[in-house]
Amino acid sequence: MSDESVPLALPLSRFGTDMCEAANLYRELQKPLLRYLVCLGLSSDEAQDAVQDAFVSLQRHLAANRSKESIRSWLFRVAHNQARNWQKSYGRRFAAPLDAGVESIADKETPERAVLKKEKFERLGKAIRQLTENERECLLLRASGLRYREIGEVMGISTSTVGDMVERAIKKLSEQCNV
Amino acid sequence: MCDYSGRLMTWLDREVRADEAAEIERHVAACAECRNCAAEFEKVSGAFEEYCEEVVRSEQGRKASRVAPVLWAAAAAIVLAVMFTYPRRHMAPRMQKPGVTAFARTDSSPSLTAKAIDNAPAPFKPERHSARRQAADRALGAAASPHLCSGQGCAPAKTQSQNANWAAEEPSVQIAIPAEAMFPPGAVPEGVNFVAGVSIGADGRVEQLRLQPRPARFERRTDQP
Repeated sequence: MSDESVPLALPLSRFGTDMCEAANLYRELQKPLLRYLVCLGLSSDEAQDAVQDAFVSLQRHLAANRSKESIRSWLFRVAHNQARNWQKSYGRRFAAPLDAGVESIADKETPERAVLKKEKFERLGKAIRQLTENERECLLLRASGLRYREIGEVMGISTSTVGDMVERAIKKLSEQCNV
Repeated sequence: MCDYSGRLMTWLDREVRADEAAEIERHVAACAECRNCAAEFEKVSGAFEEYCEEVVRSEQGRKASRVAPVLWAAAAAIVLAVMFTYPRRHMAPRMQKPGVTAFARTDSSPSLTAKAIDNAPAPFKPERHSARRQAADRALGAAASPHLCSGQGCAPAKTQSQNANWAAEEPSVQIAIPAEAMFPPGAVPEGVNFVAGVSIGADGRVEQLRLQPRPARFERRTDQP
């Protein structure tokens, strides 16, 4: 009798841990993923949809018992491919001035501080636009909390290249804008 | 330029081996140039993250500014609807049909209809009996106050037939207009409804128009883990 219950219980218990894992990942990565996608140029609605899709794919991925290694970079890669699908708006945001954002600064802070902050963001934005696409993406993924190894997996480059790229990008920003 | 400066970023990001990290740490404690450099890297890195946050905030602001023109378009549509409906009521006072159909939101009805637009220009029979008017008011109150709603989950709940007739001096008229009639496709986020209240004076002019977005009904997304 006990032999019969084993095959049934195994997939069920695996299903439970998968769900738990997906839920934990969702809690951990939903916000960084949204931020990453919006910074890549998606609207917040598009980003929401892309993140939802990525997590639906994740459940399929886990249900198919595929590798659970590098699941974080896997999610970012899936989300990134979604962003590529919206080619039209891709890259738009970092090229656009931060008008609305600057308005929101002015709401909360004193005018002098708001002006200073606006100038700082303008300089920084200009410097960021001068980075190469890869350098920009490297910094974005790093700001999302990914390790160099994971960034390399998302972008399909080696870990040491990621290190060089991050350093080069940060140096460029530091030279171009004295923040 | 110090030999260690090329490894500072990886060290700050905790991406070096433990023994190497200890070595760099000892060096940075002793080397002012590297200390400054590391501080600068941290500052730039922090500024980049702030910038990302700002991009997200900016995008949310952009989203809000995309919705605002839609609200104005809705207001304009209602003013037009009222202006075109009102004079006709006076021209054909003997018709039997109710002039304004009260719409209420029901959670069970899945789709929108364009009936309000069709019904709105229908002739209107003035009902001057005060007792009947009070009855109509009560009936309307009971059927959840009629409002304009756009988005999903809106449908005609009840046609108030005779009771829905307003007398000409009734101070407030509310008209239901479906979202598709006013907004370009996709302009209104799913689940967002508007309530429009129009006050019409005794001379038939619109005295007041208030358009308020209703909080979206909470719906659990089924595809969410």
